Amino acid sequence: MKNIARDLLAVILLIGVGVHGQQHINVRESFGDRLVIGVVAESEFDINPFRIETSYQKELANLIFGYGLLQKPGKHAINFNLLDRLVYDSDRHDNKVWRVVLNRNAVFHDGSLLLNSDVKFTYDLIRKYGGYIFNRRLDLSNIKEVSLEGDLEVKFELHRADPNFYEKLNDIPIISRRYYATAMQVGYDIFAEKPPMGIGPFAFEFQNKTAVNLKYHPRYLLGRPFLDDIRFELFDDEEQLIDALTNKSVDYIEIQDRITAKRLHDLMGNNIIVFTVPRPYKKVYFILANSKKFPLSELSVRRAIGLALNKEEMSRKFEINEIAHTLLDTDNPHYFKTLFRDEQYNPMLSSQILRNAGWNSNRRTGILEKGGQVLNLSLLFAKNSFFEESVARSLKISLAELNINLQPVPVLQSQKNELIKSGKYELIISSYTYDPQYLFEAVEQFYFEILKGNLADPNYHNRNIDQLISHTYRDRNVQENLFQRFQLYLSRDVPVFFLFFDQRIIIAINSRFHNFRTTYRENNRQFLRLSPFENWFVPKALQRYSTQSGDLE
Amino acid sequence: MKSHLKTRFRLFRRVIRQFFSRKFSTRLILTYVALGAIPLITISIFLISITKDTAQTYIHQRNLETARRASNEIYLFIESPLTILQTTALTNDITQMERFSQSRLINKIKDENSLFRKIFILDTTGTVIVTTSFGEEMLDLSQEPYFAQAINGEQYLSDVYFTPSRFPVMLLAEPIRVYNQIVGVIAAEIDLKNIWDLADNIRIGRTGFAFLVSANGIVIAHREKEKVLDKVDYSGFEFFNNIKQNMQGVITIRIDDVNYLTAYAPVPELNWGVVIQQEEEEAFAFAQEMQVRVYIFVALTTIIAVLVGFLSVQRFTKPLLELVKGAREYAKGNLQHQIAIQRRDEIAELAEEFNSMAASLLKYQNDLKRMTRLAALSRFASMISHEIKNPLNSMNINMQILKRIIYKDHIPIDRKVKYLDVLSSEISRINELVNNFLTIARPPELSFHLNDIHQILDEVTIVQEGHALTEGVKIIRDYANGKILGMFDYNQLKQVFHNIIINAIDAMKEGGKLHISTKLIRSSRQKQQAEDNGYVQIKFTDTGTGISRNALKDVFEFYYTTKPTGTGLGLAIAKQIVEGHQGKISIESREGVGTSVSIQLPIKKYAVDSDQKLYQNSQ
Repeated sequence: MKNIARDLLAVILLIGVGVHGQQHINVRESFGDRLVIGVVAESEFDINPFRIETSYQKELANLIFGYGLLQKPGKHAINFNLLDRLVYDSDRHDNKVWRVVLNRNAVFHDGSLLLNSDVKFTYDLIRKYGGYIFNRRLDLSNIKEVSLEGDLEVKFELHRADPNFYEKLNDIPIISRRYYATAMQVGYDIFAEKPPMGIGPFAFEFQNKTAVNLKYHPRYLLGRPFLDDIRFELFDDEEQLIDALTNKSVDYIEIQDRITAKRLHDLMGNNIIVFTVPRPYKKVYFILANSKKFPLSELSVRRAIGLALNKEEMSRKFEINEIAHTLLDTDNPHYFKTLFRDEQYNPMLSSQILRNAGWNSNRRTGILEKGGQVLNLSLLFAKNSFFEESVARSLKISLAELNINLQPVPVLQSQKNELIKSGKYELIISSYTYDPQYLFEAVEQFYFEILKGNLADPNYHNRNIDQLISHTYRDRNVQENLFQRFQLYLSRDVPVFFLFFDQRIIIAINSRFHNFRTTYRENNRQFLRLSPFENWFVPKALQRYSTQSGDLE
Repeated sequence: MKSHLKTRFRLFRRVIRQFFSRKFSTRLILTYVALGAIPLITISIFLISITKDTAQTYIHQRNLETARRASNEIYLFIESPLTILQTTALTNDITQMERFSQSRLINKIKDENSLFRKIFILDTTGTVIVTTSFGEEMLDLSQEPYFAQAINGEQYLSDVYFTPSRFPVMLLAEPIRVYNQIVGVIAAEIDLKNIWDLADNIRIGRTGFAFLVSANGIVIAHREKEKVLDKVDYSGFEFFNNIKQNMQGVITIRIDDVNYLTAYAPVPELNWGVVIQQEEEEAFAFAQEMQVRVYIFVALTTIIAVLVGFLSVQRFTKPLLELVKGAREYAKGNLQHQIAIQRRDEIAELAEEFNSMAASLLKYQNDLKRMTRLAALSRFASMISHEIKNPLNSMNINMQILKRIIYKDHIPIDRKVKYLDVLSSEISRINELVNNFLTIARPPELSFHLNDIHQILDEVTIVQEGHALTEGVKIIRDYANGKILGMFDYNQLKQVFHNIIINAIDAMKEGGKLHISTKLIRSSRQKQQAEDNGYVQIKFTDTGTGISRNALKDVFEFYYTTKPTGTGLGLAIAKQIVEGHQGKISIESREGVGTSVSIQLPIKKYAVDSDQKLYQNSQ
């Protein structure tokens, strides 16, 4: 009886406390507020929708210029079939003639309507000047002619029949023919000359070296975005980025590793929401070795370092599932499975290789040396990146076991590309992001821009790979050969130590935002994805920036 | 003041008097409850006060103990990297001052211990020669206080300071010695964020939490991390001053209209303080609950005591009440009543005695009645012999005269008839005497029917009005409104009223007034709920000669009369009939003023109900 009475009292109290404790915030879609997206600078803001190298450049281009006729599923959960925001109707004939009718309510930021002439202008421009999104080359060479019917109908005539032609147009934004009229003459410099203008949900407002401000597009074809502004801010390093999130000057960041994410969550508690979404592109971390510089010019040293890397230990530490052996992930059908089957951490063998190569430890210092030359190495890593510093430390400890003195040196993330291209490094931790759908382009880009560094006297080059690439360039049917050989030569020559594939994007968002994520079904599994930015909103009670109500009326 | 006291005293006296003037059973209950409850309440008040004090002391002690333990934990937490650093400073890898070995070792230590934010080694000039914080080599830190202290051979523990990312850290420095010669300094920055988990794990109840303040009062670990990031300063609080003086204690602090029970303990080695804060309301909820429980316990115990007292007293007084009831029944004359008490104690014995006493009384009463009747019969026999003798003599004389003259024709027939009339009259007289005798010998059997008193009275007065007129008596009727219905014996009551009215008229030889009044007297509510429904009072008041005080006491006795022709049976029979109705008859008289006879007849409830039905029917 006593217990019943106590339970009853507890229930009443709990209901009371629950009712009292409920914070009543009206979680209704509201206009207003600003989203500040913080990113670690890899390069300056260069808003060219046809030359995209970094993920934030792509995000920015899509927000301003939109996704073109078709949006590819990515970080933002959007079904492929529902992406035809600009397309009202389409059909094809023998996969050679494609017809597309545009939606009649797509409006550019300057108020002009999107017409078929804009589509033709865009594709003609790309056909003339090319372009790329990461490793994907914007190749519209199969288009024989783009003809127009009326104001909204576009007809593509192809050289060769292509059943997947339509998909090749994905993520290629359509630009205004009238606004970028001189682009045909000046090329992509036009994007540096004129403020960017497109049909995306947010319009360009202003830009400086470290920030880009976007303002909502009131006549966006899917309706006015909830948020008033989106601001991209660049930070030198991850520490600054996290600091900005903790002091709430930034609302959205992507975190490199789970340990930092956990620390951040511990720190901010309910003020932020941390979650992961699948990474739409492949991102591989690696350590690039400069095989032009002694002692890394010695294959034995590179091989010894490769064997001394305890990737399993590091992956456990950072909770990264997939260890990288080469540029291709293990799920890739071109992955050279048998080649990497026996590759594993082996410090004993590593030490033996070095001894065999004549490296002996100095009695006083303990460091290996050969012919008076000490085995001292420097490793460049991104300054204040917990992940890269931890990788550097692990490698330092591993190599110290082999009596190799590794000195990690912090550099700004934005400096890395320059350092790679100038060959001013011995070892450098870096990452490469590519679209696996365009694997040949990925291999080509990785080889030329990273391994060779576009240098006249490259860090690493292999004549066979050069030849295979040029063959494949001419005939895609030989690409399998290239992929096999590329993996084989890199494994043999060890110009690069592949570390991990980062398959998830860890996102931290200020919890005042709503409707920023949704579930997405893929391969019979549910994943979290981000909602398109135009759907994000902050309930009125939580807004930090005032709504420009005048604009809403 | 004095008058006030007097008033108080009077009031108190009245209360006491009222208390003791109550019924025995009530007094007994109150006494019983008072005896039980007063010590109970006294103990309870004492219990409540010590419960509250004890609970509060316990809560103070508990929170203080938690703070002390946390203080120890925190020191152990800091001691751990300190020990690692001290041990490291003694290893060959460090003391040889060979950079490669030093670098390998300190990186390994940092890699394995997440609480080290960075470890670095300075040479004797204060230059960083090795560090785990890559890129900070060759910095000149010779001006730093930790270097100055450590290079002089003393261990250094810094105050808490904050990194650019606003995380709290502290710095430890240890000299590196080789044979008592200081060759460098090893220093480490400790990430105090790890203490956050330690502080977070200290939870008391729903609102109780721990936080840590540094030597300058800045919070370094708090449940609300923003307070740490914002470097909230507690140096102005009283508890911080006490912590600075290495004192511990518990105080109450009011923040934003909420009282917080604040227990604090210093971490003396670090000059820090651990503070445990809990909302007072929650902290003392236990004490409050205890108090409420004691209140409930006292209330329940008192109620139980009252109930037990009531039941016990009732158990004790119920037989007494039975005895009282029995005694009342006996007093009413119902000696056949039996007091039923199912007990075996003294009260039961007393009840038995009561019952046997009643039985004896009944026996005596019957004997007495028999004897009284026999005495009356004896008296009546002697009287009747006397009374009958007279009419018989008269009859004899008259018959003899009649015998002599019956054949004498000259004697008018009227005269002869006169003698016959005398004979008839005497026979009637004898007949009446016999009837009266029979009445006394065999009390009338009453037959109750629904009758109206006013109707009976009217019938009697109509008969008697002629007699009254001849005597110059005026009969005044003063009845209550409406009918007064009851279960009465019509004929017997008529006789009663006849007897009384005749007596009254006879008492007013010089004429006068006979005032007949009726009055319905309702009984109390309690009685209504029982069987009575009040009674009717009939009053006969004359202005006659009155009855002397001596005679008054015998008026209801058989054969007592003051009239020369009276039988002495009228009022006696009237009394018998009235009592047969469970009623009362009384007489008041003053010589020369008049006499008043009052009759009270009960009206049974059923009679009223019947009346209502009757009334409704008659409608």
